[in-house]
Amino acid sequence: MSDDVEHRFENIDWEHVSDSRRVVTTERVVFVCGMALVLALALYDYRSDDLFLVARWRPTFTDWVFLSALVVVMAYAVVPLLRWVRRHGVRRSTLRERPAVLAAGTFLALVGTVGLLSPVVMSTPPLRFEHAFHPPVGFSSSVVPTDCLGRETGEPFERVCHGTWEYPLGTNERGHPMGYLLVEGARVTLYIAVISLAFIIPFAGAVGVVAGYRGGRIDDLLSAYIDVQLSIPAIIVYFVGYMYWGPSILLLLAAFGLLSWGGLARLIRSEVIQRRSDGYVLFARSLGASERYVTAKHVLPNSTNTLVPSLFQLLALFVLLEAAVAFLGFHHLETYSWGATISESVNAAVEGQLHDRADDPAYRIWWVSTLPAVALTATIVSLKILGDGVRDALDPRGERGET
Amino acid sequence: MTDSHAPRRRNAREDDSTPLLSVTDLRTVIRTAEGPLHAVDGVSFSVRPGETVCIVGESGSGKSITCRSVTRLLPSAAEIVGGELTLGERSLRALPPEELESIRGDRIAHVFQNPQRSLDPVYPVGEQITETIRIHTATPSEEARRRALTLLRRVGIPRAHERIDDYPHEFSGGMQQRVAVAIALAGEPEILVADEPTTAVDATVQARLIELFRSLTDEGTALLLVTHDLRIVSALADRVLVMYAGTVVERGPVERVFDRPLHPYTQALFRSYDATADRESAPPRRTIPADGCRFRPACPHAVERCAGGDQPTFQGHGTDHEVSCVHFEPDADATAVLADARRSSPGRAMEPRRDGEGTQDEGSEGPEGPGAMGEPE
Amino acid sequence: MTGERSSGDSGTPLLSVRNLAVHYPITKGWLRREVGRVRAVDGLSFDVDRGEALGLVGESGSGKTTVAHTLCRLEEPTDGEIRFRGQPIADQSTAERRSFTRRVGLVVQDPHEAFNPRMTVGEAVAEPLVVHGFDDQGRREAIVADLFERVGLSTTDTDRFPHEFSGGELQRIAIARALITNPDLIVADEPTSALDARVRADILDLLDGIRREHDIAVVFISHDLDVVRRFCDRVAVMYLGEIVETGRTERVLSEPKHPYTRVLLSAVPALDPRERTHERPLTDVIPDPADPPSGCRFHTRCPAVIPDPDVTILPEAWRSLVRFRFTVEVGEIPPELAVDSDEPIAHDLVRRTFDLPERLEDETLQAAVDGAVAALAAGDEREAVERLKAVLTTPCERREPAVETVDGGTVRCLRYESDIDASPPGR
Repeated sequence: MSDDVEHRFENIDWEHVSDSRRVVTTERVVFVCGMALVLALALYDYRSDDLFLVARWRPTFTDWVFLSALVVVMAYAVVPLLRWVRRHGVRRSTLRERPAVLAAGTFLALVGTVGLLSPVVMSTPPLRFEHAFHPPVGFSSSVVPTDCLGRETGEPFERVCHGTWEYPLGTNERGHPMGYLLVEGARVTLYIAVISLAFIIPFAGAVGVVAGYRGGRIDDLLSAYIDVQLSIPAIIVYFVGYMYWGPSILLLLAAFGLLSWGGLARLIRSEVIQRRSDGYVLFARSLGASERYVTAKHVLPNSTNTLVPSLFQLLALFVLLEAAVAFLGFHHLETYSWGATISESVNAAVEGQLHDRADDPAYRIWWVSTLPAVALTATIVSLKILGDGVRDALDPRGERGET
Repeated sequence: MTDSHAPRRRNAREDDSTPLLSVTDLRTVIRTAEGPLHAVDGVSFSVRPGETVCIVGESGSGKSITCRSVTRLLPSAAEIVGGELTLGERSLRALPPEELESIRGDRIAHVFQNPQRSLDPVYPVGEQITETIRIHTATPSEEARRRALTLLRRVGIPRAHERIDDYPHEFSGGMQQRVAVAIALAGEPEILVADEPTTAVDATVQARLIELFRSLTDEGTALLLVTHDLRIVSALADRVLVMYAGTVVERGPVERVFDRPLHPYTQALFRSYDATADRESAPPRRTIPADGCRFRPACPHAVERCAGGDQPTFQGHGTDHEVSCVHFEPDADATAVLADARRSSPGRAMEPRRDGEGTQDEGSEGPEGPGAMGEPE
Repeated sequence: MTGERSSGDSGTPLLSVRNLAVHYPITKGWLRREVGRVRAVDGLSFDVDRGEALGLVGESGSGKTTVAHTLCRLEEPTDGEIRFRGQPIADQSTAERRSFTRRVGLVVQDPHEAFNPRMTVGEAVAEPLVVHGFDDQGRREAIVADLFERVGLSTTDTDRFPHEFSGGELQRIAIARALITNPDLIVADEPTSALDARVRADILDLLDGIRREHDIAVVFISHDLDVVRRFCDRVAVMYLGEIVETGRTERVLSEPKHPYTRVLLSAVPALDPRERTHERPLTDVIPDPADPPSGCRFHTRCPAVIPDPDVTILPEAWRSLVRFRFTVEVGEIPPELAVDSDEPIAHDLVRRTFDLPERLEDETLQAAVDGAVAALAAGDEREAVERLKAVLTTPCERREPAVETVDGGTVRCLRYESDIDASPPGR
């Protein structure tokens, strides 16, 4: 039998093609191994007498949740994405033509890396009230730290402290370096993004797909549930939880995350309903393909044009919500998120010639609020730009609007 | 009951009245990533009052862009780069957009293939018609509504008085197309430009739309109809233009073109309706050249002089019947092409049936009927 | 060759459909109470032999696409039975079901919608193999490449995306995809309706060649009689979820038996511009499949509707009177008869519009028609309908026609039943 003949469809010996569903997939391997690792680490940390797990990192429960979320994201988002990139390649022209997307991606990657590594490489700096309110390098300020490390100029009663390389980005009221606070903020942001991606988005996906695919009574019930849920104000739920359990990122994510995926679920539902009658879905179903196969292979990939941007939007919303709640002061005192730091500058107690509260303009210690605000804004903007970029990169038809 | 609409001798054609719409050497270019595409490349024709002119061609032939160029209802990437368009005495080419808007719907109305796209889903159909009426004439709303009702009945909407306040989605596809025609008629246009108006509808509905179009042209409305279906052309046209790759390759009165298709492309098109004919398969679109005779790669009669330059000049072949093919140029020999003309005429297949009785059905490949489903080679 | 085609009894048809019904419930309210049913397909029976091409012809709403979907198990029948190779498909085991889905290929209507825009066409064609657990990727690609060449495309095309192809090319790829599991039956739902004439002819030639080479049966769903004429051995004409006529293609298309087939054929314009006549149905309204007409479902539109024995008038008079009746009944009042003001319409105008006979032999008939004309002139359509309904009675309205065998095919029309005193239409 020559090669040629063997490769004709008539000559497939279907008697010997078994229905072998592959059990071992890359996704599952990554998931199981990752989870095992996290579990082992957690057990080790629990058993060991050592205060620190690695370096000077003392993991909390939130950290463990984050790590498992990271595993989920790796297995079910990064692995398929890498596979897709390997198969189709990323059109370099798209990246070159869109520097904004490239910049946004780089920035978010930076935030991610910094946030991921910070607990391992950095430890909480001590409180140094005497070093409070150093301005960044290259700037000077009339709010002078008790112990100004930089150059001091001016008259005795109108002293001006100049920035020092000891604190390149300045310090806040507790004398914490701004660089440390920004990195901590990045970590909080990363936690928010990864945990919601791993544990909240799937809710939206599952409910949307089931409602759209099954239709009928199930759809009615799920849609009604989403309507009810969307009408519950998440912030009230958070405050109620706050009364009982105190502040925590997890509570925040639980309250806001679990109550705000409804919009995304609705979107997914309508996409599923639209795709369900498309020719390729009919064909796949006529092959006897399972609902899961059809959803994973046909429905969701063809919904990325709507889903990816709104997914990134949702992540941006969560990051912003955390900042807002922290700004209002309903956060854990040692969670130095960007929102918390911004609020510090407004509510700072500046000693010396200034009054207790913010009746003195906060702009005099502008770096404390401006730097995290810039970081927060850049993150939100980057999330949106990257969302659009990913959407376009995933669409083989190139620029949208073309047929 | 049968309706008789034998080919009509247009009074318009006889007295050679001035054309209502005339298009001269129209050139429309679409900008694409691969450079400009000459979608319409030197098309000329005219439409007289009460006359039906059909542009027939395949997708990509530029037929739709041609008729959209008339009122500049073009996609944003398309641009008219040459030629003259006149409606009555006025040049449409130089007209500012506001004035063009007042001409659209009022003097020239469009009907598109897909009625869902021309109907606004959030307004009842009656309101859409009255709105169009009141845009073009200052009509009191009572009167406009009465006119709308009459129009809906005119296009054959049953129980029109009950359905006037229904929304487009409450109508079937065929009914939606009738509503679209009613909206087009609301401004009492002199010329109706219809782009594949019957492609998305069923056979019996199509037959009704054909009757409707006939009755409109009988009342003096001119019809410019774009289609890929020779049967529609046969049923409606007075004159026909055959387009291929942005150029007109053949034009003439419908009976003459159907009796004797001269251009090798027209012949190929006609033969594709005949299961027994030998055919060449349609070549991929990317192989179509942009100069000389566009059809030469797929043409059985192609010779060297087909290539290069502008398309071959139009040569008359009997009254009004013209073809753009080098074989018909004065110094060439068209015998081989003419021989094919006889073989390709669908009328030839019809003939034995025409004196036949009873079944006044569609009949196409009549005598070849049994072979039609047999073993095509 | 695996030789598996020889299995199965040569006597049983490949596909056998009996009394197939697919109804969609119309529900209302939160509890989804059923308030009615759309009878998309209602009591269909047909057979398809090995290697045979059966055309299913009908207009939208006739249920032909629902039949296609039911054959591919995309929808479950409400009633009736489908047997494939002699075995009912309703009670297949999982393994049998897999084998069934492999042996039945589907070609969907719009080629531009038939492919996942995010997958290369090579992946799309290989999909049936993947779904059926054919794991050897190298061989899969080789098979796809071979198949691409055989449907007239280049092997290098496999890495391109659907949007890079024309409709005709996509339909070739769709055929390759349906073919790759080596099916016994291909269900093709309007495979050429979106294509130009020349490309359509090419695709039909391709499909026909493949069918003959591999002895594949095809259920070919179409509204286009040209295509059916060219491709199908037998044809079944559907109207409102029922088959009204079946037979060999050339017989049905040249000597249609059922009035609906005649109307359908006649609605297709001739290719001769001098021939611009056609047989009109009585009315144009296609009834709602949720509420189909009683008796013969076509009777509201049928030009050959039969008068009851006690209605004794000339055929022409009968024809114009029933047209009058059903036109008013479905509400297709021409604009000149519309009563929008209080001004009544001249009775003459009504008579002329409907071409009604001046005098009728029958007194009661005369009185009823006069009354109806008067009612219509006054704008009272309901009254007009009531009056006409009482006298212009027809068995077509009351009695469901049985399936009669005629000329090697079947027809479902009262005119072919022995106890009805009416000749077949035409002639």
